[in-house]
Amino acid sequence: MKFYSIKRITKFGVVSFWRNLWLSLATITIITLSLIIASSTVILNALINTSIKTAQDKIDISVYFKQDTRESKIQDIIFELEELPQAQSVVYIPKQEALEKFKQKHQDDILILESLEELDDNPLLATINIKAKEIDYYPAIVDFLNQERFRDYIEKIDYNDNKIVIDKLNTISKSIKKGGFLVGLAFITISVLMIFNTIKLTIHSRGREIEIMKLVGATNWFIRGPFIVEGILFGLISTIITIIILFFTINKISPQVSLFFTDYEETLMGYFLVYFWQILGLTLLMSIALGVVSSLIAMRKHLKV
Amino acid sequence: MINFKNISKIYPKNTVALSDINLVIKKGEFVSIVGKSGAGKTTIARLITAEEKPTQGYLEVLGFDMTKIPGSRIPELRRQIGVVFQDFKLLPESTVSENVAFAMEVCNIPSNLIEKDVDRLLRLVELSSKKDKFPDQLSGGEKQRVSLARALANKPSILIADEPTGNLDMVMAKEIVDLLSKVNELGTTVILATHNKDIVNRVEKRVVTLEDGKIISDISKGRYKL
Ligand SMILES: Nc1ncnc2c1ncn2[C@@H]1O[C@H](COP(=O)(O)OP(=O)(O)OP(=O)(O)O)[C@@H](O)[C@H]1O
Ligand SMILES: [Mg+2]
Repeated sequence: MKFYSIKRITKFGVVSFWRNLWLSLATITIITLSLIIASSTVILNALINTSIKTAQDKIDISVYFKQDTRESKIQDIIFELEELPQAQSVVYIPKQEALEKFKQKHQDDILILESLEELDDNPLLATINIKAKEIDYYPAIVDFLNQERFRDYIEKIDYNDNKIVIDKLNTISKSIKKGGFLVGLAFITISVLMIFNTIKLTIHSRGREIEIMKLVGATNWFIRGPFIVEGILFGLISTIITIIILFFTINKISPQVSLFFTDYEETLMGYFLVYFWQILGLTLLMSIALGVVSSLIAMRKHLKV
Repeated sequence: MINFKNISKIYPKNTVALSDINLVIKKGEFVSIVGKSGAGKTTIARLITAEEKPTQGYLEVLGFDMTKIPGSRIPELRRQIGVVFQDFKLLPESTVSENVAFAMEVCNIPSNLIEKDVDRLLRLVELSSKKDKFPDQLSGGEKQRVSLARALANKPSILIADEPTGNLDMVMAKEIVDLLSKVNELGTTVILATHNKDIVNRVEKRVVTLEDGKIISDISKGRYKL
C-alpha cells in the first residue's frame, strides 16, 4: 500500500469519526466502562494476592524454652522438628543471640539497657521459629510440640494464627475474580456488539456510498481502512480516559484501602504506579483489538460488490 | 479490447436481459449502443465493469477474462474504465470536486496533481462555479456532468457513457456528445448507450441496436433506426 493511500485512509477515518460524533462517543463510553471494570478487577486481585502472601509469610510457630533447659536437649528437639515432614524451616535463636537482638532493638533506650546490665543472668529465653510447608500443616506441628515429653523443657508455644485473615482474603479474592470476570465479560460483549452495530449501521446507511466507491475502483482496503482507523481512534481515546479515571479514583481510595490492609505495606496507588506501563499496554491492546476486530467483522459482508 | 462471445445475462427471477450477444469493440472505436428502454444497454455496461457476471458465454475486457476475474483485481480493471452512470452514482456526502477527486484518490495520485486536474475537468464540463456544492443541490443535468468529469478523471482507456444526455437540453447534449467525440479522437474507446436519436445521428459512428437483449443490427457509420 502506498503512502498516499495510508494518509488518505487516515484522513477519511478521522473525518468519519467527527461526522458521527455521537455514535463515536457512545462507543467510547462503552469501551471505557469495559476497560475500567476489567482493569480494576486485575488490580484488586493482584493487591489481594499480595496481601495473602504477606499474611502467609507472617505465620510461624515460636517455641520458647525454659531457662534451665540444656543446650543438648534443645538440639535434640530441633533435630526432631527438622525431621518432621510438615516443617519447612527451623530457625534457632540461642539465648545469647536473643539478648543481642534485644539490645540492638532497644539501643536508644538507655533505661532498658541499664536495667539489663544490672541483671547477672540473661533473662531472655532461647527460641526456635518454625515455618510449615503449607498453612494447613501448622496444627500438626503444634500438636507435636504439645506432647507430654516436651512439657519440662518448653515454656510456651506461640502460634501466630493468621489463618482466619487468610481464609477471609481467599474468599474475597475468589468472589472478586468471579464477579469481575463475569461483569467484565458482560461489558466486553456489550462493547463488541455495540461497535459491531455502530459500524453495521454506518455501513448500512453508507452501503450506497461503498458501492459507488467500489465502482470507481476503490479496493476493499481503501474502504475498510477508514473504519479500522476509527476503531483505533476509539481504542486510543478510551484508553486515555480509562487511565485518567483509574488514576484519580485510585488516588482517592488508596489511603482507605491501605487502611483496610493495614498490616501490609502495599498501597493501591503503589501497585498502580509499579504496573503502570503494563496496565497501559494491556488496556491499549485490548481496546484497539475491540475496535478493530469488531469493525473488520462488521465490514465483511458489505464488500462483495 | 472488449470481446463478447455468446454472452447471456439472466437476472434473478429469470429476467433475461441479454441473450447470445456477440460483439467485438476495438481500441479507439466509438460505438453507440441503442435500443428501447429495457433492451439491455445498461446490462452491457455492467458486464464490462464487472458489476455483474455473465450467466453464460465468454467475455474479455482489457485482457481480463471476465468470467473468472478475481475480486482482488477488479479495482485494477475499473480504474481503466470511466463510467458516466445512468443514475450518476455520486457520493451524496461529498462535494462536486470531492466526488471527482475521489476517483483519483483511489488511484494513489498525489494530492497536488489531483487538485489541478479536478479544476481542469470541472472547467471542461462547465461546472467550476458549482465545485463546492453537494449532489443534492444540483440539477439532473449538472449531476450528469459531474459523473462525466469523474469518468474522465483517470484518463481511462475505455469510457462508457450510459445515457449521458438523458437530463440535458439539446444544446448541452450536443456539447457533451462533441466532448465524447473529442475524447475519442484522443484515443479513448467510447461506448455510448442511449435512446436519443438526434445524438446518435450526430455522431455518425458505429451503431449497435439492441432489442429484447439481442443485437438486431450492427452498422458502421450508422444511424438510429427503429
Ligand atoms: N438488477 C436487476 N435485477 C433484475 N432485473 C434487472 C436488473 N437490472 C436490469 N434488469 C432487467 O434487465 C433488462 C435490461 O435492463 P437494462 O437496465 O440493461 O436496460 P436498458 O437498456 O439500460 O434500459 P434503459 O434505457 O431504461 O436504461 C430489463 O428487463 C430490466 O428489467
Ligand atoms: Mg439503462
